[in-house]
Amino acid sequence: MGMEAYQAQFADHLPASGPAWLADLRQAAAERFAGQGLPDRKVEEWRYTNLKPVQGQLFALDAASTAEAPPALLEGSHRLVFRNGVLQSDANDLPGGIRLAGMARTMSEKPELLADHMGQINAGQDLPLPALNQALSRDGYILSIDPGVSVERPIEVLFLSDAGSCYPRNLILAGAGSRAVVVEHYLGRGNGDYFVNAVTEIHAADGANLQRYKIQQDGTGASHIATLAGRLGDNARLENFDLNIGGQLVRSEIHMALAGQGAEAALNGVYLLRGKQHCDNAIQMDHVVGATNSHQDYRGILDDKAHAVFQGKITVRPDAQGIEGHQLNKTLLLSDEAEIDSKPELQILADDVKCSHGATAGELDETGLFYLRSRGIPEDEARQLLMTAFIAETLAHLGHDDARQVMERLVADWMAS
Amino acid sequence: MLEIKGLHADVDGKEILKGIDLSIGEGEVHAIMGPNGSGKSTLSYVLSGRDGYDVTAGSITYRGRDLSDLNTEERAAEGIFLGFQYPVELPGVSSTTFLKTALNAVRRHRGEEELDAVQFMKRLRVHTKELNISDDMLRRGVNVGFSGGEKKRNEILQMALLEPYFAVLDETDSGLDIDALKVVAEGVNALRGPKRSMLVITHYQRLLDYIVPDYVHVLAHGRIARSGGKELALELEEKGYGEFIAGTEAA
Repeated sequence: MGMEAYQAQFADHLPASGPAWLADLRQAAAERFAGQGLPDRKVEEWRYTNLKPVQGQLFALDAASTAEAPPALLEGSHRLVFRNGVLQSDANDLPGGIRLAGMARTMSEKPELLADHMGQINAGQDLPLPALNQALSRDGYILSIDPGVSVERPIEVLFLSDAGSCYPRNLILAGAGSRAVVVEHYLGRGNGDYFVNAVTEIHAADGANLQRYKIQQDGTGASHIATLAGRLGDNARLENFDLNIGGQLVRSEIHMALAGQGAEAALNGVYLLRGKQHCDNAIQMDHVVGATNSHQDYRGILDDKAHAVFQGKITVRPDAQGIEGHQLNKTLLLSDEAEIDSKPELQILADDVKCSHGATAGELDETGLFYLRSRGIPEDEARQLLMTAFIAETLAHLGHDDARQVMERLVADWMAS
Repeated sequence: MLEIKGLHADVDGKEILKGIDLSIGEGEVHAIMGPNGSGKSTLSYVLSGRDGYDVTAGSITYRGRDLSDLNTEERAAEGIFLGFQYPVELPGVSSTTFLKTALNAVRRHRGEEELDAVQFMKRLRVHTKELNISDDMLRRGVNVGFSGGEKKRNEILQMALLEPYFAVLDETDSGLDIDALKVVAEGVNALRGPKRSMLVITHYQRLLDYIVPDYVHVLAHGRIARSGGKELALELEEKGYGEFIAGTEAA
C-alpha cells in the first residue's frame, strides 16, 4: 500500500468543515506528509523501528465501536472519553478558569484558541507522522487554563480504541503560573490491528506547572505512535511520565523545548514488554536558553522476544549557559531473545553545562535473588520483588500520589500476569 | 539436628569440598575455622542450596530429612538460616517490606497465619529495639547505605524474626570493629537456646571470645582437618593455620 491510499483518504476527508485557516493547515500538512511518506529505517531516527504494520494497510477512519469505557483511573477526575478517536462524553463540574473540551466544541465556542496555537510547535507539525495526524485529525482534547489558576482535581482523558484509526490532536495551553495534572489514558479492547497516531502539544507559559502522565495500554495488535511537542516558558515546569504496557508497535516521541530561563522538564517513563512487542522512546530535549534543567529516567523490563529502543538526545544551544541535563536508561532483560537498543546523544554547544547520561542492560541480579530466597521467599515472589524495586526508582519521580498509585497497580498487574 | 556425611561439592566444575563429615546436635554451637580458600563459604552456600554449588557425593540430613530434596526457599522455611558474610544491597526494596514478605512466606510454609501490617510492626519493634536498629534503616532499601555494623545487625534481625532451628553465620565478624562485634555477638547469644543450633564460620578466633562455641573444627582443603573443644580456637590463634596450609596448593 503506498501513498495513493492516504491521498485518497485525504481527498475524502479534505476539505473538512470549519474555517478556511483550518482547511489550509490540513492541506499543508497533507502535502508535507505526501512529500515525505512514512519514514523507513534509512532515516537515522527510525533506525530501530520498522513501521511495516502501519505501511501494510490503510486503517479506516470513523470505525464503529461498542467498547464500554471503564471507570475513571483517578477518583474525582474531570474526564473526557473518546472512542476510536471520536468524543463520547464531555467533562463535567469544570471549575472556573479552565476550558476542557473536544476540538469540535472548542472550534465553535472559542476558535481563536486553536487558530493561535494549533500546529505552532515545529516538531508537532513538520515530521511525517505529526503531519499525517494534522491532516486527518478531527478530534482531540483542548485544555486551556487561565493564568494563575490551579486545577485542583486531575484531568483524565480516555482514548478507547478497538478498530480502524484515530488521530487525536491534543492541545494544552497552561497560562502563566497555572497548575494542572493531566492523565492521557490510551486503552485498547480486543486484539485487532488498529492504528493510533496521536499528537499532544503543550504550551506552558511563564511559571506554569504541569504534570502530564500518559498510560498506554492499547490492544495487543495495535500500532501506537505518539508525539509530544512542548515549549516551556520562564520558570515553567513539566513533569511527564510515559507508561507503555500495551500495543504491538509503539513509538513515543517527545520534543521538548526549554525556551525560558528557569524552565525545567522531567521526562520519565517505564516500558514493560513481552511477546513480540516493540516500543521505541525517542526524546529530543532542547535547552534553548540558559539556566534550564532537564532529567530523564526511563526503565523497562523485557521478556520473550520483546524489543525496546531508547533514543535520548540532549541539545544545548550555544548561549544556553548554566544548564543541567541528565539522562538515564536502564533495562532488565528476562529472556535471551529480548533486545534493547539504547542510544544516548549529547550535542553541547555551550561550555558552562552539567550533563550526564548512563545506560545499562542486564539480567535480574542472581545474588539478590539468592538473598531473598535464603529468607524463605519463593523464587517467583523474589523475582517480582526485585522487578518492582527496579521500576520503583523511576515511579518514585511521580509527583502526584494518586497517579503514582495507579501506575504502581498497573505495573504490579503486569508482573502478576 | 544436622548430619553431614562424606560431602563433596563442586563450584563451576571445580571440587571445593572433598569429603566433609560433621554432626551437630540440638542446641549446640559449632565453629568452623580455617584459612582463606579452605571451603568455608562454599559449605555455607551448599547448606542453603545455592544454585551453582553442586553436591557430587555424600549427604546432608537436617532434622531427619535429606536436604537435597529442598530448594533454597524451602530450606529457609524449614528453619535453616544463613547469615551472609556480605549482606546483599537491594535498592528499591524497603527493609520493612522485605522483612514482612520473608516472615509471611515462612509462616505460610509452616501453616501459620500471615501477619498483617500492625501485627508485624509490633513483632518487629521488639527486635529492632534490642539490636538498636533505627526507623531510618527500616525505611531505606535493604542494606543500602548501611555501615558494616548495620548490615550485620540487620542479618541478626532477620534471624531473630525468622526463628530458625539451624543458623549458619558466615564470617559475621568481618568488617566489624570491636564495639560493633559486641553488639552483633550479644544479638546472636540472645538467640541461643536448647532447640537452636548454630554453625559459626570465622577466620579469626576473636569472634569466639564473644560467641563461645561448644566445638571447633578446622577446615582445610575441603576437609575437616581437626576437631576439638573451644580451646582449639585459642591454639589456632597462637600457632596460626601454618600446619594446615603447609605443602599444599593455595586455593
